[in-house]
Amino acid sequence: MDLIHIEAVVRPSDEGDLPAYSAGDAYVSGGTWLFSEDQPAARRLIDLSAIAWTPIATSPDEIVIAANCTYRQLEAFDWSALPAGRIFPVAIRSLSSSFKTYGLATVGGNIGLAFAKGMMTPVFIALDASYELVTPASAPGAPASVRLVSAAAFQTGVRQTILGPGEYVRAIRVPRTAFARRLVLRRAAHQASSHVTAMVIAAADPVSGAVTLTLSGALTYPVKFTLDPATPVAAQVDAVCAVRPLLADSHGGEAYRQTLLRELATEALAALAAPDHAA
Amino acid sequence: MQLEATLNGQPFATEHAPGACLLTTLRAAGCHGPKKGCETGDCGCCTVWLDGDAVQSCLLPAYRAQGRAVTTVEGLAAACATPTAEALHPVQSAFLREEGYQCGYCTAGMMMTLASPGAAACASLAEKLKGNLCRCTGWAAIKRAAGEPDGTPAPCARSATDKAAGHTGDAVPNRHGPKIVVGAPAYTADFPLAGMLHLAVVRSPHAHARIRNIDTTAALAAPGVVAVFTHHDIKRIPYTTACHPGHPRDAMDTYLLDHTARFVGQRVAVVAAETKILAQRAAALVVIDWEILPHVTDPLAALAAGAPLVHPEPESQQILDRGRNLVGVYDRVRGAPDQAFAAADVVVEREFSTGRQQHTHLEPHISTAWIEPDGTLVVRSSTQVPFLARRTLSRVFEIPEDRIRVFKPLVGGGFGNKQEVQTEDLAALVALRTGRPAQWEYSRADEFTASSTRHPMTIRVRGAARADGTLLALSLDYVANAGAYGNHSTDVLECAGFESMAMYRCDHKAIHGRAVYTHTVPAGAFRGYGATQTTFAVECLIDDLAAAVGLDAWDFRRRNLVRADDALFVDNAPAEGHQIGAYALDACLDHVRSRLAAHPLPENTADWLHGEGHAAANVCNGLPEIHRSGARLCLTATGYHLLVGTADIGTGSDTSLAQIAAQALGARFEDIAVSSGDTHSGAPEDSGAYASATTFIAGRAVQLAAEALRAKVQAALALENLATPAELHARLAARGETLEAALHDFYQAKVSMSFAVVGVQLRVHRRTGRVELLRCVQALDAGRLLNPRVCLGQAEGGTVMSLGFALFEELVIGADGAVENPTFRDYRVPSPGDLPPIETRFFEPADADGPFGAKSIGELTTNGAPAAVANAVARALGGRRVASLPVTPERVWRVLSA
Repeated sequence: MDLIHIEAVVRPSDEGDLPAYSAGDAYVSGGTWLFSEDQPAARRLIDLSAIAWTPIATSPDEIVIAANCTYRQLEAFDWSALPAGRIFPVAIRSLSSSFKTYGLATVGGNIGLAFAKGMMTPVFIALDASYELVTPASAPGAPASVRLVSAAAFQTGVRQTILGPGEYVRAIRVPRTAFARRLVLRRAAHQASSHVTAMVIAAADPVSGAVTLTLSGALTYPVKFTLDPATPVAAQVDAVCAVRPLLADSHGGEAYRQTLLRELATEALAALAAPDHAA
Repeated sequence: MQLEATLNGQPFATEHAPGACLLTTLRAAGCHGPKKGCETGDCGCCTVWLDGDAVQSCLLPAYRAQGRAVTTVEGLAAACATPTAEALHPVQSAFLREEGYQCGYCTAGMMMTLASPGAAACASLAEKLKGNLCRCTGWAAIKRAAGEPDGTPAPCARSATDKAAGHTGDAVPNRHGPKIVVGAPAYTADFPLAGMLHLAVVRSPHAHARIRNIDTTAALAAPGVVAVFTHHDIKRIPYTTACHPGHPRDAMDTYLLDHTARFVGQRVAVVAAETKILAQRAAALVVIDWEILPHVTDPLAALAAGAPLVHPEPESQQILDRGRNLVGVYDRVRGAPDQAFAAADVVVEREFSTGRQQHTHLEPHISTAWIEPDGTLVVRSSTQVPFLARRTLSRVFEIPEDRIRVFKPLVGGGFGNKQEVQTEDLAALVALRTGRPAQWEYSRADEFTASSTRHPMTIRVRGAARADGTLLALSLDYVANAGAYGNHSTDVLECAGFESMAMYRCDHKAIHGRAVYTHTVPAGAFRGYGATQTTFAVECLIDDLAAAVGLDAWDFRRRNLVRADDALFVDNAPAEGHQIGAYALDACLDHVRSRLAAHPLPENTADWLHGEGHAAANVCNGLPEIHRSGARLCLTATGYHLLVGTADIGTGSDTSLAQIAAQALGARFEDIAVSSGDTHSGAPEDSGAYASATTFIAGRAVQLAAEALRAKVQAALALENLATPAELHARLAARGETLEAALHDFYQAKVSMSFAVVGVQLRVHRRTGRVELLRCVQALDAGRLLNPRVCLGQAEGGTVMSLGFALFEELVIGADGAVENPTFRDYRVPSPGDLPPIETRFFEPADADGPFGAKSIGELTTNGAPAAVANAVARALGGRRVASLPVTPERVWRVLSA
């Protein structure tokens, strides 16, 4: 929709040209969420989509995904040497949004919005990723400040993150070792085309043998825990739900969502145990 | 900002506001193929291609199109390397051939999506269409157009190359199809006027509050603002947004702009400015000092003594009991129900509630008003009721009806929500006060929060039967939440009581219906008109009553449903204006029963429980006596011109009415030109397109007028010694004469009933309550089919709309009275991945009073599906019931865990 209060747009191709952030500024990445709602507080758009970051860069230690990497770029990347990367197309196709957003919507946008229904942060938590966060310089010539936080510590509630004023996500850094994990994603939604009401990602580490479960969708923000083989999975899900607030909205209440998490966790673990599992 | 791009292969340059999206930028520049349906990226009506692949243009910042290639539906054929013989893209040809549309509003976006490279990379049709919505077709026609039909037996010929004369019974293609598939300007928003002002309204943030003071100074001083109006600027004339002919009983409780807000979202001031953005910005500058008043959102609480009153003001009229928030009642008694219940072998009682469904026609409400040089007020509107809207405008502005013209171009769906004056009035106000053309278009948020909904109801039903399975007594006690304005409530109560209770033959009946004001978004007319809710309750009760007497539900219905020769009863006298008419309800029951039996349910598994259910339903073919229609037919040089006042709202009536005329005149379909939905076309006055009246009443009027003209033509041919109507026209024209026949003020003294039976098979997940539909079979008795394809579209579309009501759709109202889920993301309508194959079979007994034996069909399949689903879920749950619609997984899970 038209954002009626916007008076100016800046869209640099060089990160160094980003303006100092001030009240009334709004970062826009893909724009597929920003333009779907009225933005009464926004007066200027700072568009990150044209910044010439490398969408996906690999090194011996880590894979670095730029925040403005689009779903289409993420999906099209050749993940054959990095098996866990096959989770990305599954996660993207699990979004409620159409393929028509894939060339616009970005990984960083999904992360920064911090919806409970978000897809990217749960995946990156399952992969032990870190986010590189940047606060632009407050004056020309002054240095920008950069910090690295774990994906698991980034989101703090529904639409809440640790991002400070003007701070943005520049990149997602994933350790290469994490891509050796076997991942399974299971989701529940009210309707074939609606967003998740609950989601579970099960991950098995081939080296340690440890299995983790990342729960999201049903919770106000995602959480990961290492499975204790000696305790029933449902009890472990319940224990998490006792400490991490559950979500209640028109898609489902708290108790029901907890039930979904238990069911999905069981399904995901069963799939993980199957010899020819698919993500 | 300046945008320079390529549009459909041509250089394109335009100005846009910095925050504008591509959709509004394209439309403002005169490219009207992409449609505005939701502006949130959910409906897909705005889909275009950017550098060769599909994007939702409402989500794309206009500045991002800089230097890029934009393709819209207008350029789709040219962008195609292998156009078809019709010079169309193959997807356009497929939509034309299979008629993958009804109203056509979603079609451009649907085709731009399916034809895109991105769609080719999707694994399924459901995935391709995740960002598209269609509300008319029930998706089946779109699946056929996409080359992925359900695989159910074709119920009728669907050949678009049928060369028959195009008389009734032929699957004549929709006459608007060629326009729809190329995205030609066709809808109200596609015809902007020079110098047109745009409206934005200020809406109440409070469920109940009085305006102490309203300050428009800042808004008036804002850039581009031409006028601001509040309740201080208008004469306080009570009216109703509901449109009914004759002397309606609807509560007259609405004011153009009110000093009191009675629901969150009520309009209280209007700003007119040079652009929509400027109007919206100025609207935010209107300062209101509110006196917040206590509010009530629950109808039973609203009935209690001491509840806040929604309409205490004495100047409102036709309110049954304003001191108890009672809009109206519908009470009927047949026989002695109390004694019958007391003496019966078996009595079953149930209580149900139904959710607040929203129409979500994809074209929002929109009106453009202007003043002609001769002073006539003209309103182009997306309306079902041009003549009745004109009458309301006449009342509100105290202008004689003959000084007002209301007309509609193509209408992008209505489903009852456009049987109201919602945007016409303020657009007219601005045009009258400023002298400039003015347009008001609802946003999707406006539709969800401030237009109408289906009435949520709480329904208590009781049934009594003898041990042998004879139904003895039925009682129905229902409370409808009217919301903040009476609107259609009084008549909704009657339809709800009559249609659900007249279906069964028993000597004792009690009906007690109440419509109650609350401080919530108003409920209005919605396909089914109240009977959808009550039929759900009665048909669930019938299943449980059958079980209680130990009979199969099929047998119990067969025994107790009305029969061909029955009169219809809700009290001691047979209904005067209603008749069974042609009858094939028994055949419909037997057909659905046998089709379901041919597919035995799978055994239950560790994960899934299976269930099968069915329901019967009916719809009255319009309103007896008071629904007025007519037709004018003129001999022309190329054939005949049919002028009707009723409105094709995407239903195909412009096509099927022309088939009637062609047959009655002995002419070919191609020879019939049609004008509809215009108070100034010369067509006789017409009550409009609602209440399933178009076929049975307007259609009959067309038949009679056409037969009259045929007689005149034959007489004149004999007199003039000519052979063909064309020769006759030429001779008459040479003498300055014309030949025509008109039928005015036509009504049906008795309206017939159409019948349907629907069965579903489904499975329920044992631990999560998830319901998956496996199969849907329906049989319809709508008399002889005028156009099998139009009828199939109505049958499939109505069923799917009700599957949505049954399983997904509910506007949730919070304690503060606000709608909590006013977007398509959170208010969920059926999508292709949610639906089973739907098999439709028509039985075609000829109705003596319908046009060429036809009965009405538009609302017929809306009423049965909810109970069929609920009955199937109850079977799967071993007889336990989910008592509320929609049957969400969470509600099923609660029953499973109880």
